[in-house]
Parts: sequence; structure tokens; C-alpha cells
Amino acid sequence: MFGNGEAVTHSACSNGSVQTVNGNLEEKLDELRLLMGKVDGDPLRIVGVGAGAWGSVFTAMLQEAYGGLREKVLIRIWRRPGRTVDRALAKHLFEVINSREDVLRRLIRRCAYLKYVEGRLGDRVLYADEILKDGFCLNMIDTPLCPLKVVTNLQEAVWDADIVINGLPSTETREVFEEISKYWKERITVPAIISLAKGVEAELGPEPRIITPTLMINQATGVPIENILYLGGPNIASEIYNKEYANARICGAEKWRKPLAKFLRQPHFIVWDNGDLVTHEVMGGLKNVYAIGAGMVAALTNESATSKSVYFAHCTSEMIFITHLLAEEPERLAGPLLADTYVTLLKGRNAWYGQKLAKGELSLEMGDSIKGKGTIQGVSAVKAFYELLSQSSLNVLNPEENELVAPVELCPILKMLYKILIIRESPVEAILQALRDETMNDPRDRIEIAQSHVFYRPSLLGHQP
Amino acid sequence: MVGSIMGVVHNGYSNGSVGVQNCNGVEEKLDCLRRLIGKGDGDPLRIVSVGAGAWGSVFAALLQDTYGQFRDKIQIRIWRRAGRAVDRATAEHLFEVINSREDVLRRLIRRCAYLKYVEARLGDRTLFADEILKDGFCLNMIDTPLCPLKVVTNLQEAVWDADIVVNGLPSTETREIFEEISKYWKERITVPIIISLSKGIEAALEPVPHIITPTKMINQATRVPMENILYLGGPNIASEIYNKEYANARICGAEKWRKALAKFLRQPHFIVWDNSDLVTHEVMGGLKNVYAIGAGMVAALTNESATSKSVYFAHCTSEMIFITHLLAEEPEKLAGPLLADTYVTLLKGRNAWYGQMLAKGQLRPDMGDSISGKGMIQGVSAVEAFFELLSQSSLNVLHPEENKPVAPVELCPILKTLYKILISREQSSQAILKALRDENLNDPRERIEIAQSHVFYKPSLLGQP
Repeated sequence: MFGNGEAVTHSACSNGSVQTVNGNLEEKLDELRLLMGKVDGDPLRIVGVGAGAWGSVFTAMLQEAYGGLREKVLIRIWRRPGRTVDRALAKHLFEVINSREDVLRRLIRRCAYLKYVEGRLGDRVLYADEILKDGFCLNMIDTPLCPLKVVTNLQEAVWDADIVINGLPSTETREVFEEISKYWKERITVPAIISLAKGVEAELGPEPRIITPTLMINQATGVPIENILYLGGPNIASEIYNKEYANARICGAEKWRKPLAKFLRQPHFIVWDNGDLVTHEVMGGLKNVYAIGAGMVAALTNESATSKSVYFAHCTSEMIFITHLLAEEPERLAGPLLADTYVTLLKGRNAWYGQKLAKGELSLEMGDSIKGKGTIQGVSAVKAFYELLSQSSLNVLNPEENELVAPVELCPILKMLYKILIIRESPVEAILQALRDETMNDPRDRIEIAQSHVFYRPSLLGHQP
Repeated sequence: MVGSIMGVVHNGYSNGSVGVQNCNGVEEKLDCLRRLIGKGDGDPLRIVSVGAGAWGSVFAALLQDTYGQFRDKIQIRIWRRAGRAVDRATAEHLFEVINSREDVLRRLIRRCAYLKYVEARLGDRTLFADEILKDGFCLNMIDTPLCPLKVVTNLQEAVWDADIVVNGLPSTETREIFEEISKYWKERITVPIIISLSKGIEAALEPVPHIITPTKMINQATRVPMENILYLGGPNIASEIYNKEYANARICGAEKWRKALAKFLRQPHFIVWDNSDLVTHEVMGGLKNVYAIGAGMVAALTNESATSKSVYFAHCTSEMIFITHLLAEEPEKLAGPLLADTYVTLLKGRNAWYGQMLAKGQLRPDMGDSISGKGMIQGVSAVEAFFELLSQSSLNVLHPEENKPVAPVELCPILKTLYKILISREQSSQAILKALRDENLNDPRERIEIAQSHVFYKPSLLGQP
């Protein structure tokens, strides 16, 4: 099966004229409005739920692109009220503001500057939702965004939304969308939901399988899976907002994924579409598992490129092995999955977390939600994948010992990460021991094991057997 | 076919004791190899490294450090050409390195070898690469002093009685040197073993287009049977390996020698696996250097943007996977190890460094691909080789979008762009970003799907029937 080639898209900046910019963007917006049945005078309502770095950037990019077309689209973001900005962060924020002339001018013009002076001096407590209105995301203070419409009441935010962007960590997705479903009881139209969440959970009964954020949303709200899509790809949110060239992939049913890919695409943010929702969403979670280990290795070996490559060889072979359990045609994931892994290992929150643990600057007792960084999704994903792959009902043949073993026995890095992060019986340094175990197989052997047997278990992703 | 799995290797350091037991572990490995090669008492095993680039020098030094103490059983030497002068700036830097390392300084004083470096520092004397190499200084790796080495500048004297020859030459010199070596081997009774470290390749277009690998060049030049020629590949940053960073490598070739040599070469921080697929691994070693140059360009042009690097990685890995489908019968088996090797080659290495320097304007393509202080940039000749090979119409594949036959290179936009920058020189380094940002560029996953959905394998490309 061929994926569809993207048709040539007219570049909004190709002739540099304002008219073309307006015409092209408005045209894309109109197409989406038409598809959703919006008539004149009835704006398309897009809501970002959750204000982590990527959720905030995503919403801000939409606001910047389409916010000028006020009669046709309204964009807002929900976050919980009450989160305070501590003194050190307020000081840093003040420095950021004063170092950016454009930001400083904007705040002065909107009569919104003096509260930051007061925050800097400790005379006033700032809150995350109020600074977000001015474009400051608590997890990404160094990268000011455009001003956003921030709503702290969930019902008010989502009750009439046409498109909801799930920017929550997976660990909060079910809870928040269960609340959202109360407000949607009497809805007539069915909204479209795009999820950015990368974490996963494992469900062990009646049979072991992975629960993805899109499935959580489907279960919580009853919105058909056809209307729920996953947007994945490597993303360093601040770089994407700063117009670094990036690729992403929107996965889901054909009805929505193509028009949404077109709508979301920008000159520096290319969005491809793909029909395989579940596998891409799961792989998005899997790479975060190994990103934590990569950070540990980088810190413990003082950024040794050679040690990083040893780690990469082993973790990619484990990931490939796991994809053979989860996907019917896993080879198709090899390139994109590993490329996403590349950036996740190189720079990202999960790798950063692994580095901090290894340097002793963070400890496990502090939990996996870090101030200034957000939720480290890889931690819960380690638990999910480990528990899933430990089930004896999934046993595979270990070719060395010629006996049946749980799949996790062939994934020494995953096992070690579980011991370090979850049951905490091993120190961070143990990740190096796992790598340097002379009895560890050539990672190519693991790939050959995966490819020489039929391992695919449709039930793991809830597919019909 | 499952690749063979290494048995547990006795760790020479496992009991931590210094002395007879520890030495016996190493001596035992040496004795095993000597027996296999048929060396009697009083007849030392003679190992020669040919070529003194960074990796060739480190390889010889690792062997010398490990086995050099057994003077009656083994002799290790390295050949390099005479006459290469060390320029003044390098001599000054070398003097700084020596004086900053107490162990090195003491060693030179003890061997009455120090004062020539003072003279060179002052400009009163010209040093030569071969004389400094005796003291352990490789011209391509001045910052990492090695152990003293036995350096021979006469090729006949170096190789005439060698049992094992390690090819540390660039591929562009391999054929020429081994043709000369074959003159000195005309009357040999025993057949030597040759281990090649070289990663470059050539393309031959007659009688059918195919790749010439360094091991094939050696075979053609010397008539040593392929059974005795092996390739050692893997990610290697030579200075890191010498500094005991943990590294993996793979020795590929006939079963008779590869297992014994893997065991002999293996050290606590240098794990060597064995593999029978000589040709494919050798070619892939060359392929990754092609894309490493582009990675360096992207890194420099985007100020080390992780997001842009990941976009590049997604596209270059999909091109590499596409190319492996032309070259290998079971290309998926290469996916993990190939990409892991690529990871380090893109991250840090001579070819990536070269790409960065070109992009910053500090080097130009017309300065050639041999850089003082760095050695040969193998990726440049590999770009030409792969481009020429994949441009042959006799290899046409079906272009899925336009539904017509095209040369394979048309589906490899990065390779084409690198050719235009480095070989035909009709474009500047910025073209690499343009190629990445072309909105018509397909999702890299589509390239992989194209490769996997057709039978592309062309045995003739690797000289097989």
C-alpha cells in the first residue's frame, strides 16, 4: 500500500505579498469550515486543552496563522487556575521580558508590564494562567509566545468547541476528558479531537494490551475514534515556535486527517498524514522510554559519542523487537521511528531528565512532573511497557536457551530502566552496566530474532485478532 | 537465518587480580590465535598496520598495549610513508599537548626523546610524521597521545613476513598500496590474513554497474583469497576508543577467521562481534559517510538545531534504507545497526566535521578531500561512487508518483544534492537546506514503503551472480 503523496501545496510566502498570505490562509480555513458545516457568522472554535510547552506552542501557531480572521475562527487555550510562579522564575521571566524589545513593547502597549516588575520584586504573586495570556508558558519561559486567550473554566472552554487539541500529559488525559464528557452530554455536533500526548498505559486484563491517549479519550467521551487523531513527530516546542523547520505526522481516519494536515501545515511546519493511528501513537510513547536512558548514558560518559552509539544500537534493536510484537508490518516504521528517536535522544525533556538523574541534580522521589519542564512521560511509559511485556501469555522463544520467555527478557535496557525508575532497586549507573555486559547479544541478533519469527500480537493494540 | 551468538567470553579482568592469572587470560587469547595460524615456539606472530590514520594508529596501539608485553610471541608494527613534515603550528600544539600530560612528558624524558619537540616548537627543527609516531603521536590525532609504536617506513620490510595485515589506508589508496605489497608477497608460502578498516568505496560501471569495496580491491591486487580478508566496521571515534570509551565493532568475513579474530581483538572496553556478511557491512560503512557530510552541513547552517537535524535524519535514513534494498537481499536486518552507526557518524566524526566546515565557509570543496590534521574525508568519494552507480538507467525503478521508470538516484534527493555541492560543485552548501525544505519532498516513510513494496534487489551491484 502506498501512502498518498502530498499534492503540491501553494506556499503562502512564495511571492511575499500580504494578499497571498491572507488569501491562502483564509482559503485553507474556509475549506475546513466548510467541511465542519460552519456557516457565516458562526466561528470555528478551536481549544487547546492543557498548557504544556507543545500544547501552548501548537495553540500559539494557530493563533498567529489564523487569529487575524476573527469572524471565522476563535482560538483559545484551557489550563487550570491557581498555579503560582515562584520567585526565582518570576525573576528569570523579568529578565526574558527586558531582553526582548518586541515583548517589552507589547506588554507596555497592553498595559500589562508592571505586574512583572512587582513579581520580580516579590511584591506580587503571579499565576501561570495570567502570564499565559501574555504568551509566557511556565514550561518554556525563555520562548515568549504571542498573546493567547486563556480560559480557566473547563466547561466554558470546551462546551461549544469544534476542534479540541489534547495537550495534556497522558496521565491526566482520562480524568480531564471524563470531566469534559459531562459538558458534552447534550451536544448535537461531534467534535474533532487532535491528541498530542505521547504517554501510554498498560492494561493487563482480560488480556494484556496498550491503552493509548486517543483510546482513553474515546472511552471517556464516547466520541467515535474516527474523530480522534494523533499528531506525532519529533518536536522541541520552542524550536518549532521559532520557525525551525520541522515535520510531523497526523494519524487517524481519512475523513479528517487530510484536511487537518493541510490546515495545520505552515512553511516551516510540514504535516504529513497517515492512516495508522495506533502504531504511531504507541511508538511516540516508546521512544520516550529510551530517551531517559540516553540522557543517563550521555551524562555518565561526559557526552561520549561512542557510548551514545552503543546505547543507540541496543535501544533501537529493542524498539524494533517491540514493534514486531505490536505492528503487522513493523519494517515500515524503521526509518521514521528511529529518526524521531534521534531527536528525542538528542534534546528533549525525557533525555534531560535522564541526565539530571545521572548527575544527581534530580532524584526519583521528586516524581515525574518537574517544575519548568512538565511531565516526563517516559517514566510512566517504562512501567507500562515493562508490565505489558512481562506477561507470560506473550512468551516468545529465546533462541539462546531454547525456552519460552516473556518478551521483556530480550529487552535488557527496558528491564534496567524499570529497575532504576520504577522499583528503584538499581542506581542510575546500572544503565552502563547493562550496556557493558559482555554477555549481551549483538543488537543485530535481537533484530534477527524478531524478524525470523512471527511475533505479531494484534490484541496488544486492541486490534481484532 | 539467526546469526550466531557469541558464547560467554572469559573476562581477563573478572577477578580483578594483577599478575599471573590476569596475564594468562590475555596470553591465552594470543596463544589460541598463534596455534590457529600455525606459529611454533620462537616464531612470533607478526601483525602490521598499514597506514597511520587515526583509526589505523589506534588499532595498532590497542594491540601493542594489550599484547606488546609478550615479546617472544608477537610483534606489532605500523607502516607509514616517510617524509611527511609536521608544520610549525602543529608542532607548537604538539608541544603543548606533551607538556600538559605528565605521563607523556616523563616517558619522553626517560627515552631521551623530548628535546626534538622543544626544537620544533622553536622552529629550529622540522619534525616528520613517522618520527613522532614512534613516540605515539598520530598526525591526525595530536590531542590523544598513544603508546610508543614500532614504525617502519619501508613497505617491503614492513609486510614481507607479516601474518596479519591491518589495512588502515583510505580506500582511495588501498588498491595502489596493495598492488605494491603483492610484489613483495610473490614468493610467500603462507597466506596472510588481512583485516580492512577502510570505509570508502568505488563504483565500476562495466560489465554491469557494481560497487568495488576495499576488501575486493585487496583481493584483486594481491590474490589473497576472500576467505582470508575481513572487514572491521562499526562506529568509531578513534580517540574515544583509545581512551577506553565503551565501543562496539563488528568483524565480517569467513567463519574460519572471524570468530577467532573477534575473540583476539575483544577488550573490556572494545566489544567485537562477528558476522558473516562481509560485503553488505563494508558497503554500508561507506554509505553512512555520504550522509554524515550532509548532517554536518545542516548542523552548521541551523546552529545545531535538533529539530532540523531530525528532519535531515528522517530523510537521509529513508534514502539509506532505500539504497539497502537495492544492495541487500534481506535489508531489514541492517536497519538497527546501520542506523546506530549512522547516529554516531552524524553526531561526531570527520565527515560530519567536514560538512560543518564547508557550510561555515572555512573549507571549500576545491581544497580536496584530504585535510591536514584530519585525514581523508571518505564520504566525498563515496558520494561520487553511489551517485554514479545509482544514475545508471540499467537500474531503473518505477517512480510511484509519475508511474514511469527512473534511475534510483531520482528517489534520493539528498544524495543528488550532495553530488551537486561536492562533486559537480554547481551548488553551495545552502542547497542542502533547500532540498530538505522542498514542500514537494515526500514523507520519508513513503520512500521506505516504495522500497519495501517492490523487489529492488540487484545482486550484481555487489558483484554477486
